[in-house]
Amino acid sequence: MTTSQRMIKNLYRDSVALMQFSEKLRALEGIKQASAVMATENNISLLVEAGLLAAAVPPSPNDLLIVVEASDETTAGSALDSAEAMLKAKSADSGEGGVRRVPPRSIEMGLESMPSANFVLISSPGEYAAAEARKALQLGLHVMMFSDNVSMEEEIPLKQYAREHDLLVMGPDCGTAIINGIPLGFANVVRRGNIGVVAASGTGLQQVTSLIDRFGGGITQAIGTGGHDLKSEVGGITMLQGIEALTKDKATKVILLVSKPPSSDVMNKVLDKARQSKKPVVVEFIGADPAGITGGNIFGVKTLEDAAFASVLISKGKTVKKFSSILPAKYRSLVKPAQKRLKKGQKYIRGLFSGGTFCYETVLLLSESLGKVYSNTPIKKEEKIPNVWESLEHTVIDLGDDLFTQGRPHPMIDFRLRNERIVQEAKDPATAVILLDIVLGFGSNMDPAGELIPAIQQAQKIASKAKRNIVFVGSVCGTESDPQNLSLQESRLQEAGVILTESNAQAARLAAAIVDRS
Amino acid sequence: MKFNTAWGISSGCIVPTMHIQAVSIGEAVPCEPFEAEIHSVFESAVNLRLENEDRLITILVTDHYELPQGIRISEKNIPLQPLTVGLRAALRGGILRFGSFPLTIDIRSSSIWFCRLPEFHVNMNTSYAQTAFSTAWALLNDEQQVRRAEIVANNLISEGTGSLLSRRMQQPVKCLIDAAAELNGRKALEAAERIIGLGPGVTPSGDDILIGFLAGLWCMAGQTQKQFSFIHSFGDALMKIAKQTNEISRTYLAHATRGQFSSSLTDLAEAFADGGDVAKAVRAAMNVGHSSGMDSVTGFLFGLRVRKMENQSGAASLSV
Repeated sequence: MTTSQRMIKNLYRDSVALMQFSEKLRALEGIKQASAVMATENNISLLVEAGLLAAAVPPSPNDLLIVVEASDETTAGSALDSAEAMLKAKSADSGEGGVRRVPPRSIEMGLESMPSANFVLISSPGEYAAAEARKALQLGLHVMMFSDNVSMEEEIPLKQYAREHDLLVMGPDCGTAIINGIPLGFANVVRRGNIGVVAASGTGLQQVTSLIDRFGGGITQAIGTGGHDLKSEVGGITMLQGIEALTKDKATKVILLVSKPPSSDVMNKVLDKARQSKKPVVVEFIGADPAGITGGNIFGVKTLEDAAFASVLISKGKTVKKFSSILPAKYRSLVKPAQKRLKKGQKYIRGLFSGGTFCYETVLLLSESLGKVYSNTPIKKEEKIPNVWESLEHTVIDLGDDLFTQGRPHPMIDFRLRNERIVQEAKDPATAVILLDIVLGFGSNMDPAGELIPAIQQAQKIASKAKRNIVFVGSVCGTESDPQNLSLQESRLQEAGVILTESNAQAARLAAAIVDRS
Repeated sequence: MKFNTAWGISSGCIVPTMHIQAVSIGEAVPCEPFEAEIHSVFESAVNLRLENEDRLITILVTDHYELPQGIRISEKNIPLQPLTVGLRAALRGGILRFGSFPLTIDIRSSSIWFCRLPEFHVNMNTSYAQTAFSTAWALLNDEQQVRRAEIVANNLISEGTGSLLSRRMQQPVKCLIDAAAELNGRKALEAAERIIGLGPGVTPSGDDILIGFLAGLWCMAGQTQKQFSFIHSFGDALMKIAKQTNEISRTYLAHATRGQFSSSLTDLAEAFADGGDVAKAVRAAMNVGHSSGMDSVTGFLFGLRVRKMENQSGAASLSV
């Protein structure tokens, strides 16, 4: 019999793993005894006493000492080689019991390594996304399809299958959700609470959840449906399922629905389902008349801010009446000083948006007070901007439109295009207000203020050379818990001269008031 | 329809960063910015070595177990294993990030867990404390025998019995208890030096016994100034020899010398203090790691023995 030992540097394994490892070594042919312990002075002394070490070795408490007693030196050497290989393989792959763990390359493999998972997020290119979603559904998983470019022909059967199996398909093109408090995709870190949201709009969902947080409320679940869900062809399958799920959810006391106005057949279905819920349901069909929606347990609102505020009030047991469309006093006081900075020829608002819903809401609100507003997402066909690269009178552009994002990241991540456009607008002597949305949260740029401020300063410099000022107005969509931190981003933007409001709607109203010098 | 808190991350356009809200942090976790690197990775725990400091903090995935140096996250399915030893980590603005690894842990709104063990003032003269001791002792020895543990508490007080490890520990354990009863710091340190770093496991059994022993002393502390001084001076001396064990153990020992222990030992001490459910607390405390929990409870009960002996006019009897 002979003994042999090997020291493995800085290797920590839990006690169970070390015990199993020692047992495996002992099971090797020709091995009588084996032990793996931390190489402390007392352990070395114990091993010498046990006859497993011929003589004391220098202690090295952070290292693992493997000792074997074998029939001969060759057997001992090969056992130690095997031992080291086993430990190093575990170190690389972290598989318990020395089993090599391969990184999951499919949903099935992912499920094997995480058997209790019941939810999958798919963000593969659109052409593969539907097939992956079907696999996931067949495995009994809820699906969030971040991927876009999935046709309605593919979407409809997926959603029908999901509905038949009591599963949910969020998307395709679902960029935002908050499930069990975890932000998914582009989403904010919001407080948990008792308001459940179902939204067909990503930035709409971000705005209402962030404002709910700001107003002191919290979220149970925020379910995204994807942009096609409320079209007649799809029939609002996910939104209807979402309402049902939130109705059954005991933690949800108020349900909030957000979407552009659906087709009338789908709107009726959604409102019928909302009535059946019996829970209070706040509905923001952006652009629809709230009065036509309100009744019974349903409370219609006009803006995303009103939606959030109404939800919070109801969730706290308060009564909600109709909201005012008038700019609050705290913002009214900012109008005159801003107007004084403008020259006579500066007449127009130039809205440069990264969030599609922010853009759409702004177009709606500006149109009410200013009339014609050109946009790439206009309300009226005749107000479609003829050339998206050049503003015309009041112009509000959604820079997240496919046209701008081909071959480049979304403007919530990459600010280059918007910054170039800010500078371009500053050169136009008719520009009075540049209106912005700034979106925080996961997925978004980690320092939007840092990205925007140099462009804002450059724009002011250009205007100043022409003896003009540009008024920057905006709102930051985010929370204090977001990785970028709401207060920090707001204070930096304000220091750079940007007038900020709490919500996108108020920013639009403030901008309109500033240019309305009638 | 019910969602688990689980992640499905696919290849493709965007891999969302996992943002985890830590449920709680231990009182010893720094809230100010720090730099660290990953020291060791286990199935449900990761240790970080703080830059320029000889101590670790521990990220724990658990629903209930707190550590003074712990950052506790409750999500069951957070894969910690992809974190690699040596990866840099940093806390900035209350958010812990790991190099380019897509995981952040937010501690900004985490509750802070304080170990209240030194406040319990367990009185071993009370009948319920003595009954609790008997209950705990019996449960511990049964469990150690059932699990075929290398250390069985009874063997440590019966000369010449048990495994080689037990036999090696008998004399120093007896000396340690005697020394503590006599408030003899030098003798206690000599005994501790023969136990530290001894035995199997990432926190060697000897270290777990010392940690438990300190918990036993701390939870009875404060009744006389002399006892208090002894605990402090013994703790200081112990840290001078702590290099004889590994960094993980050393961190636990460092906290133990300051009266900071895991929630399971704290709960156990509380059960002794207020007549709570000792059996439940002992089972929970024993159920930590493979043998660490049982070894800590062994040490804890030996720590309580010190006062029990003092009350029996200082006789260094180890009979139970």
